[in-house]
Amino acid sequence: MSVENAPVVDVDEAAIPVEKKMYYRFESNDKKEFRVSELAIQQSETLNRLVEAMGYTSEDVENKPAIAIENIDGKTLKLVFQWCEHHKGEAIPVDDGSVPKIVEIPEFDAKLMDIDNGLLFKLIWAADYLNIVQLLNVSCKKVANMAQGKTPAQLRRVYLLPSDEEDEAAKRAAQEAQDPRAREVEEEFEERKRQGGNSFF
Amino acid sequence: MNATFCLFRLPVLALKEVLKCLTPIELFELSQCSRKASQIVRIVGKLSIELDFYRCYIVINEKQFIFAYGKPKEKDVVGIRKFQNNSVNVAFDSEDEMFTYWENRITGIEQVFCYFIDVFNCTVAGINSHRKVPWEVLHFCLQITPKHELKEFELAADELTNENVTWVLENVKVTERLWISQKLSDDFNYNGKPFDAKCVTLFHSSWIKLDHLSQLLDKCVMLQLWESLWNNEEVVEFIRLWRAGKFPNLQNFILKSENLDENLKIDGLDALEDTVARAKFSRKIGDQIMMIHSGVPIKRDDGSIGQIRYFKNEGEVHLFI
Repeated sequence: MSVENAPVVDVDEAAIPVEKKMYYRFESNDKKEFRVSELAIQQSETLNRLVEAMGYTSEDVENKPAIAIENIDGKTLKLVFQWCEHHKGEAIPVDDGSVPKIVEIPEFDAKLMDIDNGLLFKLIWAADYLNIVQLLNVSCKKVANMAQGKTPAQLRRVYLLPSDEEDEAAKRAAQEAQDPRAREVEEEFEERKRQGGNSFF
Repeated sequence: MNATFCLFRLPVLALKEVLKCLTPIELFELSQCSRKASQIVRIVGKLSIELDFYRCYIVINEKQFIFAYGKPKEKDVVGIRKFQNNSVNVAFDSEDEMFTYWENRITGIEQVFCYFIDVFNCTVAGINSHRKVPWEVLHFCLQITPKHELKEFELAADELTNENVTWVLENVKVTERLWISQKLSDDFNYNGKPFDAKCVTLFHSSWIKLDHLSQLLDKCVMLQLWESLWNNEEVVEFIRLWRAGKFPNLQNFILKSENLDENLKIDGLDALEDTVARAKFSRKIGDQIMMIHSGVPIKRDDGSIGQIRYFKNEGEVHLFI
């Protein structure tokens, strides 16, 4: 099944399946609504537990408001649910602890993740939040692949890693933001040192 | 499309998943990016490392190698990496093999080992030493090995003293295989903590007396005593004790001694070599395939049967259970 044909749609009455399958309705933080099958939900430990705890009937799903997922926007949630629908019924993988972890990215997933790195970041964040193990595996593998054959200097650029100097500067800035007096004290200390004083106090 | 990715902004679990997908050499390269990076990569979890002084490499997770070499060919060098306070040239032979270049290969590989222990808190699968390694270097590597515990260890070092060997036997826990390949002084003796290793090979075992077997080496599954001083009577007594149920874990025993002669006889056995059928038995013991051929059956009092062979000319007794 292609990414485009995956059965995740914005709410559309005509698209409600005729068969008696259980579906749930979810709403993103930008008010986009999604209808997702019960089997697909099982890929997410977080959502699965949530719907189990709510104990919704089919009527509840239709009559009650959609379940709000307040941390995730519609664009990201659409990818998440497309992935869950495509992989519904598949076993949740168990980590064997090996390094490097062997993760294959299926063609469907590769296409689904052919997205801007900003959106990929949100997708990983969502997979982590919703505890979708295999989506987290493949999306993290995609990020790990960016490191292949890179030197430390190249890795710094690709992964936006600050240098030691930048980390120090950020730390100082954070300290100063927390305590505006810190800079004054530091300057006073430096001034006294210049004047040859041995002790600050 | 944006070609950059803000890795360290990921939630911890996701970041850990990314790191787990990296090879140990990629993790090393990442750790070289900054002090913060070298602290963060540790969350990947335990890496297993093996240090081989003989070939001057470490192998990480049984797959990726970092070698310490002397002067490089300049065309091969791809950059500089830092190990503690040392900045050294590096090159790659493949994605699984990295070369580092040092003035002294032994202290170089010591520094590489130290870096991995420090940054990744590795478990140490094994250390293989050899005679050219200064004791100070070997001692340092053992000191920084977490919990002083390793699966395999070959003890050899330049100017190894009795005190050094005693320190190792008292303080280092070797769980699978221990080799002591260096000749020890004639007055060496040890009666301290029993050996934990399942497989023990002592290339110069003149200090091992029969009593040591039950006191020190009772856990042994495989025991090889080379250059022993045992005589016929001691071998006969060892077999008597084994038949009576002593050394219940022992599956393979080899002893070589100049003091054994052609008069060695074991009660109840007509010969100590089968020159007719010449049957061969082999089995995996520890991580090695061990075998005996042309042995004769020998029965323990509990009914279990082993094979024994005496190589008269070599002064070697082999017992295989």
